[in-house]
Amino acid sequence: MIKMRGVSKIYPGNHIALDEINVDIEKGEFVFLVGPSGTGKSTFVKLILKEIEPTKGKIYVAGRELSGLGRSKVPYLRRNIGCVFQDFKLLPNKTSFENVAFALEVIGKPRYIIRSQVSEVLKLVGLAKKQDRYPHELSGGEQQRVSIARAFVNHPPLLLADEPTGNIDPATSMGLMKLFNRINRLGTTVVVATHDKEMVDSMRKRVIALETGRIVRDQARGVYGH
Amino acid sequence: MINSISYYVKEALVSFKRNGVMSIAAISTVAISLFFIGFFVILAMIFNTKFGHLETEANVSVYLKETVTTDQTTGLQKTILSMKEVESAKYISKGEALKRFKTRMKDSPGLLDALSGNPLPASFEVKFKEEFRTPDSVDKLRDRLKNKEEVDEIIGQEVVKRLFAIASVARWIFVTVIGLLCFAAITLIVNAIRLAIYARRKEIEIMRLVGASNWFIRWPFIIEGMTSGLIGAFTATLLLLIANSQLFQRVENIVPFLSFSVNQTNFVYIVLSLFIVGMLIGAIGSGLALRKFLRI
Repeated sequence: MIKMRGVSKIYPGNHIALDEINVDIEKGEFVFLVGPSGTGKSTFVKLILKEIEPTKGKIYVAGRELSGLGRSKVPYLRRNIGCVFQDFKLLPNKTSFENVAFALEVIGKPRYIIRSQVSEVLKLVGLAKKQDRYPHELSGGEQQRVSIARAFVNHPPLLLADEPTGNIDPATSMGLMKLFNRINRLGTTVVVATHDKEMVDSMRKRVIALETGRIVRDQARGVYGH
Repeated sequence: MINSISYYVKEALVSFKRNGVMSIAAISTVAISLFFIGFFVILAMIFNTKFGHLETEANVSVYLKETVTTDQTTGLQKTILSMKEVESAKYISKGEALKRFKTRMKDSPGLLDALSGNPLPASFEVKFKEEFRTPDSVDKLRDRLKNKEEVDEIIGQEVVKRLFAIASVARWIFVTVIGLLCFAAITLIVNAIRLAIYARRKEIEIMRLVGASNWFIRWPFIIEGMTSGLIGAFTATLLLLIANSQLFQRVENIVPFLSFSVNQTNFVYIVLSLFIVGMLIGAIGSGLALRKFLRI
């Protein structure tokens, strides 16, 4: 699903975020990308979304080489990648339902499909009863569930999460992880970038550890660190 | 498709309301620039219908001395006609000249009574060929006749020449002013769209994240810019209608022999072009803003 070959990203000021990364993530995998803040986890996510370009190396997503993908094709790449962020990125003036529906509206899905798909995904994340609440009426964990619902509503083959539990207490975080696991079992490849040790250790999934831009450990059924 | 279009229009209108002051500034500038364009085009049309014939018919009169003989007259006519620029040279005798003068002055009979005898000189009315109706040709004619003692004076193009010199200066000033106004209008539209983009930055971020196509994101802003242009054009049209009825037609009533109005077909053409220019200004403004502030 994701393949990187010799990928480096050097930001202006000679700040090296990623250094010669080689990685393969297969279809259907659940992968934790761990490491302290500032080790290139977010850069990794942004590169896959083609929000930024690598300084060097080649990135393949679903067999497609990203540097050969024209600007106008990027939206279609992103329709196949669900995204979850630390700050939820919900629109405050829209209800849960509308926030999730928005993702389908802007890619031109017909209304009747939107209605059924949104209801279904809200049920999946356990928010069917709160579909008419606004973000400020929901807890942090619930808001993140809405954003996960939005990321998954289109059933993308790949789901990326960048510090999804950064603003959420540990008990609630575990719930979210179970949700990611459920989504993974539905066939979606899940990549979670995090520095939440407890969560990673309890899930026993593949762990890719980054340190100063390099992969220092890649372990199936791994833990956060030593 | 229909869904998308109604979405674009709705978003454009919402954003319009949100940035009221900026939008109004942009619209007023478009309106003022377009009004001036329309106003000057109307003035130019009036100018052309009033004075255009002076240029196109451009008759130059070659006045002859009292002492001229018939032989000299025919000789002179040959000389004039031999120039490649000249189309015709009509002889106006003293009697003919007096007759014309009388018809022209029939409203002031007192002036004619004061006239004793016939003080008017005979002349040639020289008409240039179409492609040579320029001040240059007049200078050539003057050159050719400068040693002929039977010629008293050559009168013609001077006034027209000056008029057109003034007109061309006026045209340059006009083009510069309009250019600056259009530039200001475009800048203000860029600013209005920039604010609109800023107000919706969160939505745009999410739209990009979930894979909305670039044009889907752009359309509302383009529609907003073009709407500013169109409302500006509409306002300019209203102002022009007022100017037409209050100014030009009033001048015509006061000074009847200067018919100072534009016919309706021309007015419709002017308005149509204003709308096109307004839309273009709006499109250019939003296009620039999108390039600069929305890198997609």
